[in-house]
Parts: sequence; C-alpha cells; structure tokens
Amino acid sequence: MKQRLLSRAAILYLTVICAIFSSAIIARGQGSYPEPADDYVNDFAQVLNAPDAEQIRTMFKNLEYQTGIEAVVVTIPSINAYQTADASIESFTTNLFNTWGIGHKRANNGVLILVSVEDRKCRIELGAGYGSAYDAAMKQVVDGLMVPYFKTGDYSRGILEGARGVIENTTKKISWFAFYKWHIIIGVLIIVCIFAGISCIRSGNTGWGWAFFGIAAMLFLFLLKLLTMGKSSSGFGGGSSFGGGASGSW
Amino acid sequence: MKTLKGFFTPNDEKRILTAICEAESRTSGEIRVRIERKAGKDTMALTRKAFESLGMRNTALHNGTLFVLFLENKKFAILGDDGINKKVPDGFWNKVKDTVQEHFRKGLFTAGLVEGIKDIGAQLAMFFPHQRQDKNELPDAISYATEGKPE
Repeated sequence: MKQRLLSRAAILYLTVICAIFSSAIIARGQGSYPEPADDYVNDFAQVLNAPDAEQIRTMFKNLEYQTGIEAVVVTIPSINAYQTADASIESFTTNLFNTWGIGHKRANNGVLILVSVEDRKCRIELGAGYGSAYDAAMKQVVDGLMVPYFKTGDYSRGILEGARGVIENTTKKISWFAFYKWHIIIGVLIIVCIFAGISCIRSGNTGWGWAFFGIAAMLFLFLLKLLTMGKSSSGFGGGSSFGGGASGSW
Repeated sequence: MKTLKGFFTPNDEKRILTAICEAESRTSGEIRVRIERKAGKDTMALTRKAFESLGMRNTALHNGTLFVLFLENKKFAILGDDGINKKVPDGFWNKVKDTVQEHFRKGLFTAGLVEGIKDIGAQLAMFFPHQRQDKNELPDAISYATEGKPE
C-alpha cells in the first residue's frame, strides 16, 4: 500500500516535471531572436543607407569610449518574422535586450533602439541602470525626432536623428559618475592609505605604516581588476533591462 | 567589430553542431561550417580554397559540403563536392541558398545554418546512405579563420 502510494506520487511528480518542461518550450515560442552581426548597427530590415549607418556606428563607438554606454540600433522587418512568443514591441525589445545582454553588467547602461518596419512601431529600451527618470526624455526622442521621419518613409534619417537624441539625453546627466563611482571611492581610499602610511612611518610607527602601504597596494590591484573587468573588446557586456524606455508608432 | 570566434554564442554553436551530427548520422556525406572575415573579389574562389585547406576534397565519395560565412561583406557561400553535385536535382543549391539567405537577412544566422544543414543532410541521406562502418571523415567543429594575417 505504501509502495503504491509512493509510485503514484512519483508519477504525479514526473507529470509535473513534464508539464513544466513542455510549458517552458511553448513559452519560448518556435522562433528565436536575431543574432548580433555588429556591435552598433544591425539593419536586418535594410532601411538604413550606408553613410547614415556609418555615422551612427562612429557616434556609438565614441559614446562607448567616452562614457561606457553601449548603444545599439536594430531594425527588423516585423516582430512576426521571428515567431517568438512576444505579442508587443515592448516585450520583444525587452527580451532582445536581455538576450544580447546590452550594456555594462554593473552599470546596466545599455540602450537599444528597435524599429519594426512593417509593424510601423519603434521602441527605445533602456538598461535597468537608468531608472524611470529617462523614460519621458526617450518618449520625446521617439515622438519628436523619429516618428516624423518614419511617417514620410525616411527611416534612415529618423533612426539617425533618434540615435543623436539618445546620445544627447543619456550623456547629459548620468553615467560617468555612476559608472566610475567605485573607481573614484577606491582611488580616494588608496591616497588616504598612502598618506596614513607615511605619517605612521614618520611618527616612528613602522609596523602600521607598512600595513597601510599593504592595504593601498591591495586596493590598487582591486582597482586594476575593476578597470579591466567591464572592458570587453567586442560583443556586449551582459547588461539587462526590466522594460524601461519609450515606444511609438506611425 | 566582433571577433570571429565570438560570432556564435556557445549555445548557438551547439545548435549548429547538433544539426551537423544529426545530418551526418543518416549519411556518409560530410558537412562543415567555416567563418571568414572578408570575402575577396572572387568569393567562390576563396570558398574553394577553404574547401581544400580544410581537407574536404579527401572524402572517399567526394560528398562533402561546406558553408562559408564572410562576416564583413555579409556574404555566404555553399560548396558541394563533385560526388554530391552530380546527384542533386537542378536548382537544389539555389533553393538551399534562398532558405539560408532568408534567415540570414533577418539576423537568424544559427537558424539559417541549421535549416541549410537539414536540407543538405536530407539530400545526402538519399544518395549517400549511412554505412554501417561509416567513419566521421572530418571533424564537425566550426572552423574559424585565423585573424591577423592576410590570407
């Protein structure tokens, strides 16, 4: 009797596991998200002209170099073309953002500009690091700089203006302090330790002096590690988004 | 610019290798994928060169097929050896090309390769069935061009 109960429990357990697995498969949908072919511009819908694409690439490259912000433009023919489980441009963009891991992992400062041509929809998705304070500014970029050009069919210009607007609005307030906050704190600590060490040695307390120098050296190594950690020579930094940003349609 | 090796995530690479293994389990033919940075003026000539340098001419029945992706030029090539080329129907290569291209345009590089490998695997299985003591004549791993030196 006990055995029977046990086996019944086992069957139930197995059924539950199977159900979880199959629902996981269904939830992911049949299709998959596009794969990045470039770090800055992925024009899968082929709406950008070559000079504009090059200009955006240069702008984003400089942006990343100067502020650490990773920004990417993606155009797709339609959300349907990928047969993912996403019903809206919002969820498609968030999922694409997280699949690619756009932005620095700690600062979460990635930006994704997605244009779905046949759906006549676009979205600027911000990394989790921006909070909701930037959503209104992004809405202005979408409605004021991008959609007007999209309405006339000039996708290339609209995307270029959108990229400019994104750079202007993201670099204005944040980022470098948020990005380099820990570097600065550790740098200050190193200087404090060195001065403390020097003053200890001067006052004859050599043991404490060397201890402070040791701490300074260790902090310095940590700083070096911090500096090299986020720098990926290619690809994305592993950032994530929980859906901040703005969308528009035309 | 992305590095060649970073083009596919480990997960995507696994999907491609699984497709190759599955296709090759039903045929004596061999399928490989090669990633290059730049295509020259004559893409087909470069593809042929890669075909030979990977030793793909050395299959007993001349039934190897190679996919080459030229990342910078957004080009790709599919090259099948004489053995398979003689047997497949007219327009077969173009049909595979169209399938692959349709996926690549949308940025579905892994899915495009997997579909192409499936199509070619099915043809290979028809004309070159798997033999009992078939040996895997070539490694299945994706081959990446070495960077830094002009080829």
